[in-house]
Amino acid sequence: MRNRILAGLGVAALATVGLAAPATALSSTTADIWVVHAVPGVTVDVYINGNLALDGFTPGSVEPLVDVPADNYVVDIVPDATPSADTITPGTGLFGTGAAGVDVAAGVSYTLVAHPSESVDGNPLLLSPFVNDLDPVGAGEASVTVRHTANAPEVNVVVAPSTPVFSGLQNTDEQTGAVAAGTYNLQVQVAAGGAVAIDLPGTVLAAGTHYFIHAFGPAGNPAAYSPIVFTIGDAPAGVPAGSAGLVAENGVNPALFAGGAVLLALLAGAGVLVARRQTVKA
Amino acid sequence: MSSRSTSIVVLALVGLLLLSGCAASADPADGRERGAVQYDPFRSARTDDFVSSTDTLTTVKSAPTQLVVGALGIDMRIDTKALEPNGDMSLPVSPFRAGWYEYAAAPNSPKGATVLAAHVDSLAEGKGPFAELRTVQPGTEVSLVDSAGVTHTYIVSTVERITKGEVPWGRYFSLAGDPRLVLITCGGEYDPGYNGGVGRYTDNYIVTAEKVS
Repeated sequence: MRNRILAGLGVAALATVGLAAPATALSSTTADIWVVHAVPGVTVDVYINGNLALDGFTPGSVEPLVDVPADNYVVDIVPDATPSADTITPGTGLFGTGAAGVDVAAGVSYTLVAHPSESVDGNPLLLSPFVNDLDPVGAGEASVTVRHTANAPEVNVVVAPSTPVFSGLQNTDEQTGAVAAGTYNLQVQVAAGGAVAIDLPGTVLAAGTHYFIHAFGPAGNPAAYSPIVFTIGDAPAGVPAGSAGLVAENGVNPALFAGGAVLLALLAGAGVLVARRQTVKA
Repeated sequence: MSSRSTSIVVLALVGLLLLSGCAASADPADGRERGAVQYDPFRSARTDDFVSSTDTLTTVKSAPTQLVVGALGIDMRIDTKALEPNGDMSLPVSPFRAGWYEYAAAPNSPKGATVLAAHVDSLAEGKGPFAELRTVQPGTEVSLVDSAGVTHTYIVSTVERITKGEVPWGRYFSLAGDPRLVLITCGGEYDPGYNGGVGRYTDNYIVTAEKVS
């Protein structure tokens, strides 16, 4: 298992920052945007184009916005107010995309992460956009994306105690790789010195699943780092769940039903079935 | 009269080629299309606000093995299924068995949809139990037994009939949101001429049930 994770990651690992080309088409007309709150200690409101979109969004939360039309959006993050204003002037939030906004393309799955920077006090706060890699992972494999969105220095992701998975992640970096489905003792370690920042023993990585893991912290008492996780499974293109037309709702279709009856006789060779059908028709 | 005879012969030939019972969709991408949704205000795009939990990283899926809908007389065994090479969900050949999609949630998952699908019918075996799904009423109890022997109970909330190609599959196969059960089969009109005479139903029936225990 360990060898396979290394083999898979060595080939497939890649680092991207910010908005890249569409990875996979979800929809020809809309995008999905997963909003992740990784700023410790402050509940916020999220405004999109000046309109209140998320009210009372708490640290550690994830909010998927689905079927968002392709467009340019100005996203503002402000500390939660009671009551929250329905609208604000776009671009005037505590932080966010700024008035220039962020371009959202159709057919792409995005994540927007509100998080602290690497500086001593975590400021300035950042709103970092990522494209979710949803390329189908195939049977027996999982896709893992780790994003460094904590107030912390450079880290490595390892299978404990020291087998590298991802190396050299700095604040706002992400890395993605395919791994064999299975259970791993994952750790996020500070690159300088190897201190364990996040310990995830017994992490289950299921086949056909994309894991998006965001480093969050320091938060809590005592202050610690933790993961903010959401998952997206490979979805089928369709569900072709019928073939005979026996329960069609087209109304009367003599050719079709006569055909179905003949077929049953041909295929099943079952005199009982045929007799039953003829009784019904009669 | 002669044209009817021709239809019968064509159908019979097609049927012989289709003993396995799957009418594949012509365009694997068409099922990913999503209906146009208008946002006014934008907050209506919200679907689910959740606090991340490491449960997501520690749950070993427990596959469902039996589906019971007493009100509809459904009691089916369940096979674990994934994807066909063309990207469609793989289904048991028999309409009397349901397939559990292993890349979505399991009954013991802390979040997301457990998805089961079954053929509504087949040429070899006739009408299957999922043909009854179109008649299910909101409030109906559905239960699953998983591979650990645990029974999970759900209450039907919605029954939808959606034209193939317009189903937002990513939403139904979601790993996000409250635990729920999604049952899928085919229905609507039957188009015997689809894909050069392979034939298929025009719609999918989709039943959603919320988990209660």
